[in-house]
Amino acid sequence: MVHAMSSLFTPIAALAINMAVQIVGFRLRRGCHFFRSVVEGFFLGGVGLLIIEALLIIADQTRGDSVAMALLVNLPTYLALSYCYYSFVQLGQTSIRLRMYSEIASRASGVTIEEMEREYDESALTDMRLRRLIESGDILEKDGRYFIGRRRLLVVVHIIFAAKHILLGKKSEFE
Amino acid sequence: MQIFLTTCALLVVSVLAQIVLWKIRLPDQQIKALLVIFAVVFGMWLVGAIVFSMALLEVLHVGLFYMSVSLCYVITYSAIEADSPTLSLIHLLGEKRAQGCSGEEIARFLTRHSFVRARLAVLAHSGLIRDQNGRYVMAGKHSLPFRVILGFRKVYGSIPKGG
Repeated sequence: MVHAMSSLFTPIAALAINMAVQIVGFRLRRGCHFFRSVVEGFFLGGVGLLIIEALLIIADQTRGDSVAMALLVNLPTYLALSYCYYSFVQLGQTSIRLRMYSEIASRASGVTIEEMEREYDESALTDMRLRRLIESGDILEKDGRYFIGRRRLLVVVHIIFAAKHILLGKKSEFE
Repeated sequence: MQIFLTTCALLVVSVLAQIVLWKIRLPDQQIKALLVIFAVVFGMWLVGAIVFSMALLEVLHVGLFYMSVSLCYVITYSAIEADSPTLSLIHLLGEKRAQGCSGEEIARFLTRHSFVRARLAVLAHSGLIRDQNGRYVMAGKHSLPFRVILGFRKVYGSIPKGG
């Protein structure tokens, strides 16, 4: 009973380690290296999960069940919770929609589309996005032209567009 | 093993229900509809688990596993529902292959796909903001999910304007 209860809370404890490491790491670096703090949090949370699971397996008599529980349930649960946490903090970092909402919420008189377009200058956003993608190697620049570099994002694009096609019957919200 | 198989079965049922419902009629608020589907499927299973006297710890374990994977799916679905500028750009370059794109072509593509207007339209459609004499203002109270995200973001510091 105690083992089963402990096993239930293992992914939550690992997530708590993940969050604590990420927040402390990010704050110690004074708001720099956001992605590095996420990776560190995820890694140390995973180490925490493995340690707790190992201790539970050692303490348990029915080891076969414990190993199955750790590998099939708790590890995927931790991965899923970490993905949710990453998406949650990432939203606060990069979501245009969230920033716009925050902008509108902060002005009682409201905002016009033109003001918003000036604030979120699409060409400045494009430059920033291109620079980030070139730095990460996802896009290559040669003689003023841009090409696909690493193909990892292209794989993601194919999956997302296939899902769009199956579920929504179109490939883009602009179609 | 039972927890794993039960959760997988629940997830498969939820996704199949979504595909069927989406083919019948695309909901206005897709994320909300998706959350309702996942909750209803879990609720129906929960009734069965209570009727068949399933152990409380197993129910909780299935609940945690199912909830975390469901949320992952819902989060990923938001990238399916609305176009990401970065992924749209990668798609464009992927289609052009060896020919590539010039800076002007990319700028033209992104101007045709005004992500700012599209995001404002989504916020208005979700009932979070409304158009009042040509100005977008808040519609009612602050959205709780947005408040939570913005509140948590303050742990790091203020949000810079623009991109």
